[in-house]
Amino acid sequence: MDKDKKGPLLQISELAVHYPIRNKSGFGSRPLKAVDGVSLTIQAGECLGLVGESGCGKSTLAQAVLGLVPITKGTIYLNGGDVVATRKKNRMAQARSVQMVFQDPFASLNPRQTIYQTLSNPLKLHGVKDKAQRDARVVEMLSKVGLKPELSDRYAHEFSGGQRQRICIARALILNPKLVICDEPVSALDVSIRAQIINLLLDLKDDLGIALLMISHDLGVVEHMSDRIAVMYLGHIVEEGNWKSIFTSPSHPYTNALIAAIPDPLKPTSLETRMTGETPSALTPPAGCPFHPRCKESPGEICRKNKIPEFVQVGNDHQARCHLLSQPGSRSDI
Amino acid sequence: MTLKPVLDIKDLSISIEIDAKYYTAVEGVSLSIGKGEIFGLVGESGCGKSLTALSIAGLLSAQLQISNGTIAFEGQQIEKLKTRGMRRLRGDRISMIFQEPMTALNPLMTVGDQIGEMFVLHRGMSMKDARKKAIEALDQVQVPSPGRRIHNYPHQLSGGMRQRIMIAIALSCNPALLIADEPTTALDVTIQAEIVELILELCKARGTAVLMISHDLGLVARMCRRVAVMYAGQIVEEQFGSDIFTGPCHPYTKGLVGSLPRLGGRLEKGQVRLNEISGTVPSIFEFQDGCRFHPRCPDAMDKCRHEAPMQTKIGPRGYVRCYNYG
Repeated sequence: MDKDKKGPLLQISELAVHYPIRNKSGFGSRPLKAVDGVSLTIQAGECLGLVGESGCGKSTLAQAVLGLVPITKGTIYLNGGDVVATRKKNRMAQARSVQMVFQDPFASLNPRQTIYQTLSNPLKLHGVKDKAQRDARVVEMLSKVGLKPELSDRYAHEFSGGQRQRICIARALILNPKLVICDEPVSALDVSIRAQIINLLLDLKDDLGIALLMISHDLGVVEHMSDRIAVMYLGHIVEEGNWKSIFTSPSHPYTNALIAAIPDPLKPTSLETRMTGETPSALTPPAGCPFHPRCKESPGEICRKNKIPEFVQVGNDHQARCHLLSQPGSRSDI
Repeated sequence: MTLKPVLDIKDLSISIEIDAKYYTAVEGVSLSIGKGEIFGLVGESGCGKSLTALSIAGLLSAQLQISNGTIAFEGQQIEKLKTRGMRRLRGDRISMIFQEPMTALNPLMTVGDQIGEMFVLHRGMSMKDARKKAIEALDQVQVPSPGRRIHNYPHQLSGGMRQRIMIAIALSCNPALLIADEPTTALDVTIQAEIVELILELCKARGTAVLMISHDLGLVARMCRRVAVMYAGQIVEEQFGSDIFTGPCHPYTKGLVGSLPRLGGRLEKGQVRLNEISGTVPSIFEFQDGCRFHPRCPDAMDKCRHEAPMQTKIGPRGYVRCYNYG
C-alpha cells in the first residue's frame, strides 16, 4: 500500500493463520486453520464488531493484528506499515499504534504493581523521560476513564471488576494508540457494570478518535457499539457490512441463526431459524461450505461439495459469502 | 394459581462465618414454586442466588449455615435433615445442574456409568439394567448414537454435549424439582437456547418444577413463568415472566433492564446512551442499613437509608421491596 496515500487504518488481506497440530502417531503434523483467507479493513475512528462462536478464530485474528502469532499467509497493514515487518524491526513503534483490552480484568493486571506503575511504565519504556510529564499523563488518563487519580498508589486487588476494566482501558490508551482491540471487554463483568464500560468505550472512541476492534459473542453489545460488523465462522468471515444493514437484513444463514439464538423476552423466537448442533472442530472442518451441516436454509448439493464462495454484494456496504446467495438456484427443494 | 407448592421457602437466611465473625449472605428469602412451575432467580455474582440453591439441595459448606427460616419440600421440612436423609432426596427428588459441566462430571468415569449410577443408587437396579436406562436417558437428551456415547469419558465430549449428560443425570430419576444454576453460562450463545429449551421440554414432560438461576435477565424473563430478582442477599422484586422486562418496579430491576443493550434496540431508538447503575455491587461485608440498594439508587429517600423496606404487593402475585411503592 502506498504510504503517503491516506488508506484505511487497518487493512488485512487474505490473512491465514494455521497452527501445526502434531498427528496422534507422533509423526508429521497437519494444519489447524484458525484463520483462513480473512480480509478486513478498519477506518480511523471506526468501531468494527467481530462476532462468532468460540473457536471461530476471532481471538487468533486479534493476536495476528498485534503480531503475537506467526502469520501463514496474507498481509496486515496497520497505519500503512506491514505489521510483521514492523514488529521485527521496531516492536515499540507497533505498540504505540495498537493496544488490547482483555476479557478478564482479574487476570490481565499485574498484582504486584500499583496502578501508577501499571500506567506509567509503558510511558517510561516508550521514552517519556520527564517524571512530571508521566505523572500528568497518568492523572489525565485516570480521570478520562472515570477513576480518581488519588487511587493510583493502590494495587489491582483493591479494585472491583468494573474499576479494573477501567484501569485496563487506561493502560491500553496511555500511549495514544490508533487502534484498540477489545476482546470480550464486558463479558467477565457484572451485568449492572457492563453499561458503564460500554458507555466509557464509546465516549473514548468519540473523544480520542480511536478505532475499536470489538470482539464479542453478545450481539446486543455489538449492535449497540459497532459501525461495521463482521461475522466469523470457522476461520472465515461469512458476512460483513454496515451494522444497520446487517441487523435489518442479515443475509448469511449463520448470521440469521446467531440473531435468532438471542432470547428476546418480548418476542418469541422462531424455531425455524434456530440452528442446531455445535461448531465443528477447526481441525476437521466439513467439506464444502463449513456451515452446511448446521444450515437451516436447505443447503443444496453445491454447499456440500464446493468450498465457501467469494463474497456477494447484497447491499450497499454489505456482503456475504454463501452459495445460496451467489447461486440462488442451488437450494435443495424440501 | 393455587397449586400445592413443591418447594416453599420461608424467610430463609444464610450466614457465613469468617474469622469467627458471622455475616449474613442471604436474608429473608421467601419463595414458593408450584408443581411443574418454571421459576427464575436472577441476580449478579455475590447476590446469594447460588447459596439459596445450594441450601435447598443441602450442599452448603461447613462455614455456611442456615440461620433462620424454613425450607419445605413436598411438605417435608428439609433444612434440618441430616446428611443421610438429604442424600436420599438429592438426585432422586431434588436434582441439580451446575454451570460448569466439566467440573461437575467425574473425569474418571464413563458418562454411561455416571448416569447409570443414579439408577443403581436410587432405584436399586443392577448395573446391567442401569446401563440400558442410561442409553434411554441419553437418547432423551438428544445425544446422537447413545449406545456408543455411554463409553465416552467427559473429556471426549464438547461443552454442549457434557451439559446434556448433566441434564440426563439430573432428570434420570424424575425429580420433583430441578435446580439449574447458570446452566448455560459456560456455553456458546448458539448452544444456550438449545440447552435451555431441552431442559424446559423435558421438565414439562415429567412435570418437574425448575428453579432456574441466572444472571441473564433476558433469558430468564423469556423462559420462566415467574421471576424473582435478587440483590445483596435479598429478593427485591418478584413478577410474572416478561412483566419484569416490560414493567420493572424496583429501581435495581429498572436499572438492569435499562442497562442492557437489547438486540434491535439501536435500530428502534438509535445509539442512545445506556442507562448506568452507578457504583458497584456490595460485598457481604459492606451491606448497609436500610435498603441495601440505596447507595446506588437514583430515587433514594431519607427513609431508605435507615429502615429496610418491606414487601409491597404489585399486580396479582408480584411484590417489590421499595418505599417508592406502597
